[in-house]
Amino acid sequence: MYTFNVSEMLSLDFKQIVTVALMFFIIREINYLINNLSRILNKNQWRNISNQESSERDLPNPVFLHPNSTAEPVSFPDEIILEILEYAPQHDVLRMARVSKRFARICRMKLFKNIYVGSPTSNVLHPEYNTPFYQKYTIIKYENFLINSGSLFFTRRPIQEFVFKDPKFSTGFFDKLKSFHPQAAFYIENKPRTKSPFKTLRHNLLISDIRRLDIVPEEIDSLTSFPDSIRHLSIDFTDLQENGAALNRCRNTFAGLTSLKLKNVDSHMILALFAGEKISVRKLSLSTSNSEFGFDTIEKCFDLSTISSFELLDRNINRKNESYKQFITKLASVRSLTLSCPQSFLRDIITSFKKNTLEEISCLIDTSHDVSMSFIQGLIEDHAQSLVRISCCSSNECFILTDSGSLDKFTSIHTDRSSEYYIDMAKELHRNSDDYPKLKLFELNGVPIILDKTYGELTGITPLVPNRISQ
Amino acid sequence: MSAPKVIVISSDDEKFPVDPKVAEKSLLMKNMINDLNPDGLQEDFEIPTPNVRANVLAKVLEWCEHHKNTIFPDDDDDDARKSAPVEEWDKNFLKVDQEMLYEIMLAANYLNIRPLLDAGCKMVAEMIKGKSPEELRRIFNIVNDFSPEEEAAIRRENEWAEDR
Repeated sequence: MYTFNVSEMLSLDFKQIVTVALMFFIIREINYLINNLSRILNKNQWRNISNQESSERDLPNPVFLHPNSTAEPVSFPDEIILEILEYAPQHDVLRMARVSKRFARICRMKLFKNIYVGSPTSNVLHPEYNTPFYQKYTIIKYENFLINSGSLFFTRRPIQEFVFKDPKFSTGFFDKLKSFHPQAAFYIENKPRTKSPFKTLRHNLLISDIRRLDIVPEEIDSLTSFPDSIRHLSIDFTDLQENGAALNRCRNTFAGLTSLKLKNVDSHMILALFAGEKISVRKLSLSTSNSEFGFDTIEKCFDLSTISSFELLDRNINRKNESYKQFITKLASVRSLTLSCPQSFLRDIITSFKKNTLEEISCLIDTSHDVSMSFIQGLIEDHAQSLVRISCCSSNECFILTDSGSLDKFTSIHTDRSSEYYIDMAKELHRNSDDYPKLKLFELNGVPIILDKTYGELTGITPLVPNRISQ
Repeated sequence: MSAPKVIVISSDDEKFPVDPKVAEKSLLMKNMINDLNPDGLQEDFEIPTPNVRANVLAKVLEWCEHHKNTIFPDDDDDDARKSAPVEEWDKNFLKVDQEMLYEIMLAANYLNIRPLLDAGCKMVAEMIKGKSPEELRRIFNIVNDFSPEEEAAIRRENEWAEDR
């Protein structure tokens, strides 16, 4: 019979290896026996020990140090540890680095190689937590990045990738960072993340051909005009010091614009930036806290007939006037509607829409504590033919109902969707509302999930209490 | 004559006759079989594995047997490999005490059985999730060899990324 032996090929003495291996094996087996014996002997004793101590006893056998060879601890080679760390989110690797010198050395090979500046979840329960995204990127909170950016500038570690989520830096900042890390790739992610963040990190820093732009007022100051290539524009006016000059200067025809989001805007800003020819957009999203926010301004600047998705988040939630209602009903081709106002008024507005035209309704009901069942049912009945998704949130709870076909009643919601799907939708809503510190999301058929303020982070799971739904 | 077998010999000299197809789940064994039998396997072929004990080898070969028809994602396709969750069967298969898990992983590394090593790594990665350094030391029996100053330094080095 043809035989072959590995050791010969490696020109090692096979006998010697066998002897060593055998000895090693025998010693270990003896140790093992002794260990087990003492375990058996101690068994009865253990039973009488309190819970706390028994959890100590139940500690699994060590992995990285061989338990039974005390003389020379056998451990995983670095390559296997690195391999394990490949599958661990960086957040865990950071902690692993603090375990021992050896681990610090190994973990360093993986940390701070790809840097993501932003604040995705750090919660292990989150469905996204296990995606390659979290394994690849060292995630740094925005504030922490600002405070510590110096150490990144001067670090000698070769950084492969920088990803900035919704960056609020000047291009000068990036130029400087680039000059320190010429080999690094830079990405800007300012699309809202939906499913996998990994797939959406595709925005390079080429401002000349930018399609999607998130911008804050101080950046407008340094801008001479908006690029013509722009399709999706989002402006946060929250910290605007002066209004007028800069906005006037940046005025553009916005010919290619399809979606526009203006946060904390008032009539003056809209006029300064968009006055002139009516701008046609498909998606318009406004949030305001200004009590004098005029709907006539919107009408003056935008072609209402082209808007298919409209969102108005109004801090003056009690606004209840005829001009509001009149304005809303002028949105002839709207299919998706997101409004925040009192429940009764909302009902009033939405019933004035042509029946079976709305595909998506999102209601943010701030003042009432419960979303009334009859309210939701009313909405569903009015648009039974067209409705695909409806969500209703108050400061206490959030219902998201969705269906691909027949939306009969609130109680017969299809549940074949994964809970992730609901979470994603809740996040979407969540992103649009600053006023809802705690949105509850009910999956309806199973485990409900609470989302808190920090970008859809899961804070806990509580059982569904059906009788909280007021009839 | 029945089809020739591959006889895998453990460090403690136990012999495991298996189908060549099963043994070939190990790249090491596969290369060995192919390199030394360029005309295909004519007769039984012995492969000693001086690093692997019999009880570990039995487990590893059980895995190979179960997966003999499984097609695994390419080695090069990092994303697919990393994001694939551990298969239910593998998960149950690897529900052994940590020492065994550790030895299976070492054996998989030595025999070059990539998907088995991956599954093991994922299981261990699962174990370290959300644990504090103190807990990690306890679970894995690692001695803290930092001086207090060094520990503070490494904490400083990382904390600004850790705090989220």
